[in-house]
Amino acid sequence: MVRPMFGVESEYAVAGLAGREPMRRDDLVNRFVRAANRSLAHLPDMGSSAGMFLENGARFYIDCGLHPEMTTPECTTPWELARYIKAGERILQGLAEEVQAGAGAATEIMCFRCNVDYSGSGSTWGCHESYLHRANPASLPEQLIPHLVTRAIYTGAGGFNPLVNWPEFAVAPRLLHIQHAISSDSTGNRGIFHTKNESLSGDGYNRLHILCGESLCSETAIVLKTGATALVAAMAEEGLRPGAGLRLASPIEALHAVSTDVTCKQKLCLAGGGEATAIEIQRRLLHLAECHRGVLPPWTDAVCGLWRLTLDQLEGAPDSVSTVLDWAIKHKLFHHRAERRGIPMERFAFLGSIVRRLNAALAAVGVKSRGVRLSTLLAPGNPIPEEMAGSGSALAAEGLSWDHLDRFLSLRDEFYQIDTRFGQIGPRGIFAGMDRRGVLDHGVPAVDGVEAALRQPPAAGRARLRGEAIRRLSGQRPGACSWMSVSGPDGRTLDLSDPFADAEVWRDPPAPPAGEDAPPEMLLADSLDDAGRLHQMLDAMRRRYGRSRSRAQGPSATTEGPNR
Amino acid sequence: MRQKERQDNTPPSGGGGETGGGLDRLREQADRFLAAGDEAINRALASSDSETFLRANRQQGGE
Repeated sequence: MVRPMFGVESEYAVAGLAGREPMRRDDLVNRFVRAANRSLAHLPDMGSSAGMFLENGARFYIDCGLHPEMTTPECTTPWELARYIKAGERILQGLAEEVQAGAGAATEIMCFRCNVDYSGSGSTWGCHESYLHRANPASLPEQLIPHLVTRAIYTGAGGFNPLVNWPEFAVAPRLLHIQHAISSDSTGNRGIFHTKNESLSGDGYNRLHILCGESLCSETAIVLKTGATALVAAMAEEGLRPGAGLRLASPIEALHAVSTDVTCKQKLCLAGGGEATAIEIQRRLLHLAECHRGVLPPWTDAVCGLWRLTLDQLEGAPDSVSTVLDWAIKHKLFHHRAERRGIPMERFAFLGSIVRRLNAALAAVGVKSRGVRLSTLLAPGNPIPEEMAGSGSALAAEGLSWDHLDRFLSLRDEFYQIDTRFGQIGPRGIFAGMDRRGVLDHGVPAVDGVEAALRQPPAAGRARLRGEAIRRLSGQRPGACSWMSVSGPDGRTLDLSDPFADAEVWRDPPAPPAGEDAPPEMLLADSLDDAGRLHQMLDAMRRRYGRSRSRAQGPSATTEGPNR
Repeated sequence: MRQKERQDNTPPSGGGGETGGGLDRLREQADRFLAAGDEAINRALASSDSETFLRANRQQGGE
């Protein structure tokens, strides 16, 4: 039987606003790091000068785009994973509150679960899943892609297509950035299936790394995303070929179709002939899991029950998921708001087509459309008079006017802000506010114990050993941590290469080779730009080689902590 | 009914064949949902204009 283990790494957006003035991002992020150094029991991350591992087994670090990233500890059930995602967000909220206290009431410090950037940067915030497995990695794309494409009907975060400059609702906006079926890239040219296979474990294990997911608020959506995907991966590992007969003729076309289809009923072309909707493909996968529950994880029945219920709702009573799934909650809110503004969402596609025409005409005369106001185009001497006349006629034929288009465009920034604020972490978030009012049905009973998970690691596997070691060693120098090991102040190393390890095995440091004068294998490049890390590295050298520390005194005397 | 209480695969609310009383209940639930959404949105939008907000939240890298 497959032994499941998985985790999620989420990039979060942070912003500080002092009146109309945004805080400098590097200043803001430094404040988060200082708050983390002060208030979280941790060991520095061996692999990054801007990271740390926490006593609950998670990893917190600052990513290259100057945003915080939280990776859950390794978990063994979907609800445990949801618990640690929520715990990570509570930790982040605590840091934001600490930064807020230092910044003063005139500045608003905000932290968001975000997926796409509406400022026009073309960037995204990632939410990547990792699944431990022992299958042949080469066999996985065919078995997993049909699932990864169609699961968006319940894993979609909802929002707006970030690739156009008008509000076009999307079930899964971040997936519209994905342009390849298979890719090894994670920062550009991303694929539905990511070929990265860095196991972060000992021999015999592989790690399936999925980057076509989104950050979510709904517990049901989080549990289903992980649970269903872990089951499909487990079925592939068991040789059950979950992708058989479901190969899509064009996975990218299908992905984009599913990501924008709020009916979930669009037919997708299968490579072997015929068509199927996303719901039908998901039902086939669900049925396969139910038929083979004996070789699948012990929580299979519980996940399959929720999976079936959600597919039934999507198919038979779509309105009932509008209190459950992220995208459906948002769709209902935006639908209501647009209606009240006199521009029903049913008109968005047509109005968007007019904007598309205007954009194309502007581009043809060498004018960038972003930043051009409609009032400029309606004024005498506009650069595209023929297109304005044609578009005006098209609007009139639909019973609409330029005023409708103007109102439609004015909704854009407001809708983008609402979408971003929906996932704001803390009490001011829209999802959080609605949940407090008891109008959402997203909760899953087993996603409990979040408060304890702020400090306690999962009960099973190496995450428990890591967390317990960090609690004991936090603050002691030198000490550091990675996914596969913890190094203590006495120079010994806790081996965590077995992901299911249940007892601590500490290894003595290797004896230095005779005559060897080189420094130990540490991350020198990462350390040189960080005085705290340099100090730590020199301490390790002194301990290991018995040299005088005199040359290391300078940097150590001037640093606050190992993660500055 | 909360999802937490709906793990027994009972039919979801919102399907067809509702009685008059059931429809009233659904309307009331929908009204409460939208009122709670409006309240949360208005509170969220109160502190900043959208253009400034989006500029402050610009992503500089990612993934």
